[in-house]
Amino acid sequence: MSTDTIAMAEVTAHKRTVPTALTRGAVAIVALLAAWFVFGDLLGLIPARTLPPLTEVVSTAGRLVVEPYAGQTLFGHLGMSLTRWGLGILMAVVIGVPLGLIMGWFRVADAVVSPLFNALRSIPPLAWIPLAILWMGTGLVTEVTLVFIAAFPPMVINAYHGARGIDSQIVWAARTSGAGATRQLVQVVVPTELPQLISGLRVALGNGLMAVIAAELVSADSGLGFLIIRGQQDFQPDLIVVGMLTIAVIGLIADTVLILITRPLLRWRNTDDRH
Amino acid sequence: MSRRMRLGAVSVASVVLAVLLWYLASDVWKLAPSVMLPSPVTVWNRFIWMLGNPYQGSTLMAHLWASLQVVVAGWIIAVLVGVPLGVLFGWNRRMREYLEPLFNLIRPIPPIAWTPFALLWFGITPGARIFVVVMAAFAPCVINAYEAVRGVDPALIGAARVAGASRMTTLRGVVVPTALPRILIGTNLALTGAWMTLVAAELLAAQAGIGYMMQIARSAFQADIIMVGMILIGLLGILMTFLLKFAFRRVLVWDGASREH
Repeated sequence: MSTDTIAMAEVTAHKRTVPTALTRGAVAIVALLAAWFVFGDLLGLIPARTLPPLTEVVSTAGRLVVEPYAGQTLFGHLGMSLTRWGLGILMAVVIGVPLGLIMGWFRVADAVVSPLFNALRSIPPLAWIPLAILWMGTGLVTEVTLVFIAAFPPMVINAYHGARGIDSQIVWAARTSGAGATRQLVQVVVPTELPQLISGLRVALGNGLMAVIAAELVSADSGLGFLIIRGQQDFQPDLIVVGMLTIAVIGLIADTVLILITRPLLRWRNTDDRH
Repeated sequence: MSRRMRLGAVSVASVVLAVLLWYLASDVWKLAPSVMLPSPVTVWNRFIWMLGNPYQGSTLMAHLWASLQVVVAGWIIAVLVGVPLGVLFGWNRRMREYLEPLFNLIRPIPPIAWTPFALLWFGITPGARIFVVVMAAFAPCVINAYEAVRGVDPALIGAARVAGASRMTTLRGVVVPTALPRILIGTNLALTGAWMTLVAAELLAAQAGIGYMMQIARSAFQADIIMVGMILIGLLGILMTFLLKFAFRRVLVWDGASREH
């Protein structure tokens, strides 16, 4: 949420300074890379065990694209992580959103589920890792479950608050116009709470990425988390850097894609706010 | 009975029923072997046992103490570095424009992914875990301090400047006090994130601590010990958040606005 609010506020508040902001950001990044190159590669002042030379990281990244390491190429590991991440998120959406809607809609369901939900939620998702492995062993099911555990609460909570926050007059209006229960849900409730669901999904994506990496670090035989912990065990810091940068890139891409996809969906709401 | 009380009774019944089902499934119906699904009674007895008997070299309190020291140390470092940096980002546009892209590049990396580097640089030491905790607590401190400062009403800043206050005095006397409630919320969020990340880091890089205890219990098929750990982690997380909120309320006692919320 914050990156974008920062960026958006910047754009609206200081339209003319955007080019300088971009230049300054680029200058800082280039300066950092240059410092890394000069002190690491040229002068050799940074021990390779601490941080490998920049050129070595670049060549490792290139090699990893074609040559497998620890069973997979870079894209192979990436694909494994993405699969686990995606399936877990999908489960969280498919189960979490209806549950949150029901809890927000029916007071009794809220009273039954909320205390259990809140009690379980107080256990951080990563603390489930040992029990999940004990119960299900290592494999796709375990990792997907852990992603689900991490992504489920934000989906439920946001669907819940979305449903609670809906103006009952809108629903009444639909009902008096003859909309049945399904139509009320599909055409009134879901669109109205879409912004809330999307912010829930953003949190869920972040939590899910954390869970998949943690699960792969502790026990897996593939994936980006596995790649970086193998890099540590084999004393190959260049692999760790490549793995971490890949993780950063997929996190950034997922967030950006979500914003781009959902912006048209939310447009009607933005115009609505102006009245 | 009012509707509210009836719903409250439903909530209590729901929790009681859930624990009862857990008990029936484990101790009475024996749906799963007790190493996999221990009953609530077994977990409670194990908890009492662990208070007096060392497991993997430490009693339960010693494991907890090891974890708490690391999380508090890392959190303090993150607050001391992250909050001033966030305030600086919010106050000085040039500084923000230079450093923000770098910050945003690193931010999507889940903090736990720093564990391999922590191990490489520090080995299996408390230092490695403190490093991971700092990485977890740092971003929430920076972001909330930044947004708190950006959220200060420009009219307040203008008034102070017109009255002749220097930029530094305005920052110290107006901006930071006004932003403080939000900054403190950020440090509280940071502690929650740091606590979870630490437990995960202890699965990989520790020889004491609550996560280490759970990791050993996992390889020894002792689900009761894992559950003792999970429950304690949850309770301690709630307790820490509560204590910080309580402490912050005393700090913010002059601040009427934050009490109304």
